[in-house]
Amino acid sequence: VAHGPAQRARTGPDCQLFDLILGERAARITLLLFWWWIGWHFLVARTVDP
Amino acid sequence: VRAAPVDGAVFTLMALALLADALGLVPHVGALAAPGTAPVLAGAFASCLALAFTPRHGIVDGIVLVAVGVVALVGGWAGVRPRADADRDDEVRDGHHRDGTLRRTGILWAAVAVATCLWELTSFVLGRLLPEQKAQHPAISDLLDPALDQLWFRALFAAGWVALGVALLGRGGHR
Repeated sequence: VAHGPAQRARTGPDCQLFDLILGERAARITLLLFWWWIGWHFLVARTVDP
Repeated sequence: VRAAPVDGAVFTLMALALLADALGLVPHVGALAAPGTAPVLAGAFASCLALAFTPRHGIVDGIVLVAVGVVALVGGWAGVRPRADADRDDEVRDGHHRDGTLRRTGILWAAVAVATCLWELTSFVLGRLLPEQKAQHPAISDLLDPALDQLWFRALFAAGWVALGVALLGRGGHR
């Protein structure tokens, strides 16, 4: 277990952060929409200018 | 700049839906029961195959993206019911929440996300302003576009994209 400054600078597990964020509807929909758009942009839509 | 009317309409529509929800104008919907592993895996595998092995920008890719988008956004809007072990996870998380570690983690990830967006925006704008030097300022789309025309990279991209979506939908849609 870390003590002193090292402990204060600790960060949390990323999966817990994601669970917290994804528990909010607005954040969940925003992240899902961005993920969906990545698929749309690269596989369906015109990806770069002609 | 290429027109992207579908992208614009989808983003606007979802922003308006979230705004209406924040104002309390959207009727409450209950969380969905999480689907079983078998249908999720079957859907994910079928989507992967279709996206990888049919022509890029083709009609099949379009149908898959529309179907996946509807399922993901409707499912994501409702959220899923907590798992049996979710309460214990929540306790651990609340502990990290109180001592500020989650906040620090969030700030670091937000910094990474904002820096990536600024980098991409800078590359895109420089590519527009200095077209003769575009090769020195490629946007992510410029880098991935040629690779995605190759089957092996498209298959890899499709698998990664589908896996990320399953992970996003499967995590934390409770509370």
